Amino acid sequence: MPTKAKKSVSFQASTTDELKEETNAESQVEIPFNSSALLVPFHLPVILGFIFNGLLENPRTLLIQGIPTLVAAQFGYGILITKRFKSSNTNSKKKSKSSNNNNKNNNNTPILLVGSILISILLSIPLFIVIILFGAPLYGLLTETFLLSVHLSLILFYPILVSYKLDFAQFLQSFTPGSGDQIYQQLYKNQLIFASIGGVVGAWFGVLPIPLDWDRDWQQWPITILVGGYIGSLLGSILSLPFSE
Amino acid sequence: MEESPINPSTPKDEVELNDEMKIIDAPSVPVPTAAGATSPEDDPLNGILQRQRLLRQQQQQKQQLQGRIRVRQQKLKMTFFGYIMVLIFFAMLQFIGVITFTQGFLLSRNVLPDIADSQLDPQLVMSTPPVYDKMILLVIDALRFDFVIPVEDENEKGKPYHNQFPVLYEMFQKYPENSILLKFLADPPTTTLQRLKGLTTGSLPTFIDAGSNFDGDAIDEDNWLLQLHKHNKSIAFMGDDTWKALFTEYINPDLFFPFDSLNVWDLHTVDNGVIDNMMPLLEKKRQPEWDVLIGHFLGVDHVGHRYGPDHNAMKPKLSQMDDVIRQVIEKLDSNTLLCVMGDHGMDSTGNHGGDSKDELESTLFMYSKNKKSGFKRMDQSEYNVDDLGANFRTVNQIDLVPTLSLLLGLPIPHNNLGSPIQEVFGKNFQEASIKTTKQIQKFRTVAGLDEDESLNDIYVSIIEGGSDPSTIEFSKAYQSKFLEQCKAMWATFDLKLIIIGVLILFASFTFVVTYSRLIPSVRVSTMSFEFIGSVIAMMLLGLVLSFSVYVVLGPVDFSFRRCAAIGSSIGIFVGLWAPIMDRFSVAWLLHQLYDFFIYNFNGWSVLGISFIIGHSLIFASNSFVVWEDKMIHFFIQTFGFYCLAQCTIKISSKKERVLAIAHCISFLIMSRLISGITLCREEQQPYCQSNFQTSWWSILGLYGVALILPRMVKSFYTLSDSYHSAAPLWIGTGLTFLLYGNAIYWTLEYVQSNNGGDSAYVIIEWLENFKIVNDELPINRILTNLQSIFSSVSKTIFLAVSVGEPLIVSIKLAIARISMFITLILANYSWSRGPLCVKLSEQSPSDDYLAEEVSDEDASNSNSKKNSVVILGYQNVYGSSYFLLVLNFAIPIMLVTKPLGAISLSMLLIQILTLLELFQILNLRGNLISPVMFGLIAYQHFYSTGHQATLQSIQWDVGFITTETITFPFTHLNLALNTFGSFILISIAVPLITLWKIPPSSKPITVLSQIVTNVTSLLTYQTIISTSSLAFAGHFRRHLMVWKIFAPRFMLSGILLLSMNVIMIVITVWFGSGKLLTQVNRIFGK
Repeated sequence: MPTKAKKSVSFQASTTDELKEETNAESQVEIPFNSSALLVPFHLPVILGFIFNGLLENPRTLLIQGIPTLVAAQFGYGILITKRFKSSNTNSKKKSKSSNNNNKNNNNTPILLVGSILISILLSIPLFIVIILFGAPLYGLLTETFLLSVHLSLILFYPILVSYKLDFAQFLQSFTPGSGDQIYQQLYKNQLIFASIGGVVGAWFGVLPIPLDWDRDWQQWPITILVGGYIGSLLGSILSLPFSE
Repeated sequence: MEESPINPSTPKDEVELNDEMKIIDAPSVPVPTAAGATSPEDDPLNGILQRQRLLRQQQQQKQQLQGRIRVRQQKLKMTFFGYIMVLIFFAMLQFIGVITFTQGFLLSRNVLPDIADSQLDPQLVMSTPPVYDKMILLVIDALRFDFVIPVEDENEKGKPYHNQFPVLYEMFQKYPENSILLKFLADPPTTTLQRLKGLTTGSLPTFIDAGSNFDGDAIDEDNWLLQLHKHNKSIAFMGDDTWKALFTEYINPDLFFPFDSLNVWDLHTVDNGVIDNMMPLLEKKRQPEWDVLIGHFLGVDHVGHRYGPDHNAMKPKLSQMDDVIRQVIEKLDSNTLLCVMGDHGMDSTGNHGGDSKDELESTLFMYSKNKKSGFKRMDQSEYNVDDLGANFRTVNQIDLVPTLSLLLGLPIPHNNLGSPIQEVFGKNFQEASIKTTKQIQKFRTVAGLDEDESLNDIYVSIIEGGSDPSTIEFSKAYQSKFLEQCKAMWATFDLKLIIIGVLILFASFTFVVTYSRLIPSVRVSTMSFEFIGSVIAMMLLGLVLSFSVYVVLGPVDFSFRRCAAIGSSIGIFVGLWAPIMDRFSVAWLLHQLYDFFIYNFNGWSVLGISFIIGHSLIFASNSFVVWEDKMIHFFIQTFGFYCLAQCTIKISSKKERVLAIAHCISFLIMSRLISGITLCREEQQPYCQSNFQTSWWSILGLYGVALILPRMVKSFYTLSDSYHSAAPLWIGTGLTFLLYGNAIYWTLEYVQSNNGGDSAYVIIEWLENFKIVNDELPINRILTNLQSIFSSVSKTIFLAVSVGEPLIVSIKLAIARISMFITLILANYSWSRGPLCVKLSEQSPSDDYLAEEVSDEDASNSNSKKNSVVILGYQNVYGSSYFLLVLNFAIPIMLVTKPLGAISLSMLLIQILTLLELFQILNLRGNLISPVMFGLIAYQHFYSTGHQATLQSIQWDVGFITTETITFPFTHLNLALNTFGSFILISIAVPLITLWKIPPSSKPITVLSQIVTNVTSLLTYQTIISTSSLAFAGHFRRHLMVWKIFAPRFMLSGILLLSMNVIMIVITVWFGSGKLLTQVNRIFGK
């Protein structure tokens, strides 16, 4: 029966083939930086420690106060990432297009970093919607939810933005549709992406303790998710190290 | 269809009639006509011969075809029969498991038949002659304590139930020596039947009795009505007919006026009946006819059930009660004791049954004009009415029993556990207290509960103490301590039965998981008859074995029925496993499992398995059970986002990707909207806000649903080009029409329950709040005019409603009955005739990308450039037709669901369709995740249709949608549809996972085996959830929250498991898939 079913969607076949060719040509997607223990975001638990001191009494103000600290730390982290960029020689072997970009961006590291921070703050709006869709409360706690999404967005998106030099097309190459298993390889070989995935998973698990009736301060919205996101991305980054070349 | 060269004599309608022969004809028709078009011109005679030959050939072909089809149909029917039998055996196994567990878990109390007899032992009654020789006992159902005390509201409007019933507190203030007002603490469960048992016997009715509220059985325990009867007193009764079931034999038949109690929509019949029958009896000349008069008012309770306490109808009801009590007090003579009380309270939604503070706290008021009554208050600070009387002195409900008995000169009922109320006895309290202690000690001895030496010591010191004042305190301590012991003790579980029940369910799980997932589905289809044979043989063997065990060993605590049930369940289990073990070895099955984890393991299976595990672990913690609704939503959204990611990454065609992503996003948004509809359970406070109320905008939403839902369904049908023939009739006409019917029904219900004028009144109020700043502005003048218009309109509506109430009621009943009849009977009957959503159409060969060509060969043979005939909707023959069956059940379920719930269910239908599209796009048909997701959205909609896993959240009032009184089976059907609506829909819809968007298969048995795989997978999921819920309920049987959280959840799981089994066997497999597959096979099976 599946063979018959194909008939109705015959236009699909040709397009798939075209795309397949494309993907074959670019099957070896470049990771634009060298993984290293230096890129493990050790600053995250430190910031978390700073924020946590007093977070339990007043999450909202502490979350707001934490944002500048996080931005500054991420800025420094961004510099670390740019230091670890692969030299443009290896890149130009593979693709001339991206090397052009590299040359341009290499000169503008501060703009890249600031731009990335601005964009990740902008990206916190879709992330906010995602958190709402996951069931964040709509009554009364919207500010906290938004602050959470700003924090998470800075942790999850910023390193990737910097590492791909805001080149969305290049980023998408690692996720070309139809490339199958390679996607997963890309995921865990790329330390920064894996850290982000770790952050997402951490935040997911951070939800679970909320319903418990232990009446602890740290069960307040959104502390557990924040902690989960911070620790998750740290762990993700560390776990990715053995896989990276 | 305008020009049809192939078969002009076959009009469109005939083809769509689904008549077997005509459709089969269709493909073969072109041959003769094509031949006929050319040959007659050459040679007429030759042409005729040729035609005859052709006709003969055709007939032969037809006969052969029919023969083959008949054989295949027969085979299909046998396969069906086999599957259904296996499923029935499986359901039997689970039924035995659930019942066994229930018998071990739901407690029963050992009721002692002893009756206290004061003739044998005059010591049992008070030494002083009773002060009162008559008593009037007025029970006001659901009279919460804060209804009767003065409450100062901050805002001037106040609650409609405060300060409307002041008479009791006024009297309490005025006559400190003759009256007493107390907070009256009921024991859970707070249902009227249990409360009446407690109020008359003084003992603690157990949970299992809660189910018998609909047919309460006569009380066989010692109680004060029985004692009155024994002392030849005449009892007059009027009110709630629950008393009739319990106490008929003790009440004077000439003065017995019971009224139907369960019709909660009727606020006044019972109360007016009580008043009309009571007032004459209070007249001087009729007073000698009775010694004790009992009146049971239900109005307050019914207002609560129907509208909730916050409704304006509460005000006049409480004032009426106030009035009645004043009249009774006026007519009271000095030898009569008046006792006014509530049997339980009500929660903030007006319901009761559980054990929250609001449900437990009721009122007790006693008053007498007799100067000798000598009530003696405690310190004034005990009667503190601040803060809704939070610190007011409280007595237990069962304390009424010894109090009344001793006051009326009766012995205390043998099984009583209550203590006398101190204030009422004044200086005689010591004697009363010691008498009660003696009665309790006797009860302990007879019941064999006197092992606790510390209590015995206290008892000895009380007896030795004599008239020493210290004995009062000892007595109190003794009584309260023993009460605590009893409360703990009557939670005795039969651990053996609990374990056996869980084991049977676990056994059923091992089978169903093997059956659905480990054995290839095609193999399973050939094994059915082996299953049937071995199960019957093994079941008989099991019965014989259990019988012999019963006869030979004679187990003490196992009745024969129980032995037989366990024996046959073992038989079924062995019988189900035997054929599997015959063909496959354990090693092979394990290898199969291993293979699954190695080769078939992808993100989806991980997700499916982790959802199952996550959901079943919820029951390990009371907090997660409480927040199950949110957890389920979290799982569903996780799936949605994973879907979104997969769609973005995996789908290569851009057009399809956009469509898939759109499906994902609409799925995500819909389930978030649905999760916004909640009815919070008590334990979720203060983190939850209920919004499940019938308001004008939810009614408006119903009209929106009627407008949008058919269009949405239609758009899904057009995706597979299936919106033909039966579909427009079902969806375009039927669904739209009936949904408007539902909307009108709920509008009328809303108008009726808000006295019509209310909504208009709200608008007026809103307009008035619009401060008119400047009168000269024209807009304000218009507003003022509008105000006056609206007020007159509201008056008209109010008038119309008050005049036309009976009319509205009959229109409502008519709509509900017609809708039920059309959907459940007519539509299902016509569905069973096999409606298909296909249409014959012709297309030039160039643009036939939409549908399958009917006759490839014919077209090539004739080699013509003629247009070919295509069947539109061929790609989704099964799915489009089967979904109509889902709609048949969706409409009545939406009718009996309250407006917000109906909106949620309409989204359930869209969610199902979206999921089906996604499963098809992402190729998840065979994956574990598909049935799991179906199960999860069923749970989501259980919660969003205003339910929780608690007894209070059962929406009793929908029972009266199709009938005015309780009528079997209509009331019960409504309640079942309302409570399990989403599960019924999902259980029916689960074959769509296989059927959606597949063309007619030449191997119907393969399709059937895939359907059964999905059905049993959903069953596996539910079995795991239920088994886990039962096991944890058993494990936490001593948990503080067991009756509040774990026990109701276990009941839900048990009922769900059984009802899903039944629905899937009867409707899904037998009726739905059976009819559809045979029908499609008959028409398309070549």
